[in-house]
Amino acid sequence: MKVDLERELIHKCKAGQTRFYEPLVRAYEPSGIRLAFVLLGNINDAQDALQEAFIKAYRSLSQFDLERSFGPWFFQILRNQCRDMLRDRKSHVSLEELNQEDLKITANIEAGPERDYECNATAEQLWKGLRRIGEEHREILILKELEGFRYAELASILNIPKGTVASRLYHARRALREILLGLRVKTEHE
Amino acid sequence: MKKAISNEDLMRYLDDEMPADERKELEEHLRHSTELQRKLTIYQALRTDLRNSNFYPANYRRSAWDQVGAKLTKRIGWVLLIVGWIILTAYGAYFFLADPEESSWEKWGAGLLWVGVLALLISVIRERYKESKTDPYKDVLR
Repeated sequence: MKVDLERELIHKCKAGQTRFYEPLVRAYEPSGIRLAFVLLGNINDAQDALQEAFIKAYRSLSQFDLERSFGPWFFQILRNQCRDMLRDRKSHVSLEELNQEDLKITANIEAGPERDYECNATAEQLWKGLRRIGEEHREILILKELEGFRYAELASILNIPKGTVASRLYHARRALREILLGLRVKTEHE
Repeated sequence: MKKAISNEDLMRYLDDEMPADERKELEEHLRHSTELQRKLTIYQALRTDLRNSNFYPANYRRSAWDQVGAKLTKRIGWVLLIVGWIILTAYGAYFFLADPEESSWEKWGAGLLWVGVLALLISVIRERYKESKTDPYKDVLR
């Protein structure tokens, strides 16, 4: 969504015109549900977290600085909501037990059937790897690699100094790589 | 080449978060270090794989606005209803109590009746509010 349009919509929402919130909800729903799903591990909790985050964001719009971008601000609310849910509801569903049918492990790229199979297999391995790394590592990897946030935005979403982002990303990537190596070794032995 | 390259520097280079001069310096290091090249290739491949994967829930149908819009509108509706009711009640009560033609018995009777109705209404609203906070099926569409 274009920044100007986004600002205009937020401006109208701030004036109490609820209907102008709909395009924002629709624009951020796909990436929001993916983040919540990966963090919480099940679709029902992810939907609840997403709805609650949208409502909290709307109610806090009066404090929103129009010079900022809505995306990182909203993702910060969503990430906090997911963390609260994990803590409060103890809905820390073991990601190991996650129903595979809930997940669409597909490649984002168009390719032939053979390449497709290869990409889907890689995606499945990555999902398994993401299940095993810590919450802190999982969230930064998803926000960086799938949502494409810059370091300054990541720092604001995760509430950490900008200088810490590179270090946390390094540890997250290393942890994921080590787990993937372990998984590959295990697969080769089977 | 001045300083050694840290893992954080490598991440900043990989993620295009490095100023041009530092970038140049790191590329110089890269030219001379196969170990650094190896590391960079590994993380580049991992990043490509992650970007090419789609961790989207399979059975999810977009519907957030239906729920969010309904909740936001409902709240506004309640606020307007309560404010309107308070204004009308206060207006009616003022005229009723200030009317010299009404006897004090009538005023006391009507006053107590209203206080009773209000107390019951508040207790019902409180109960419903508590229920709605703990109802696991509150968002199920009927």
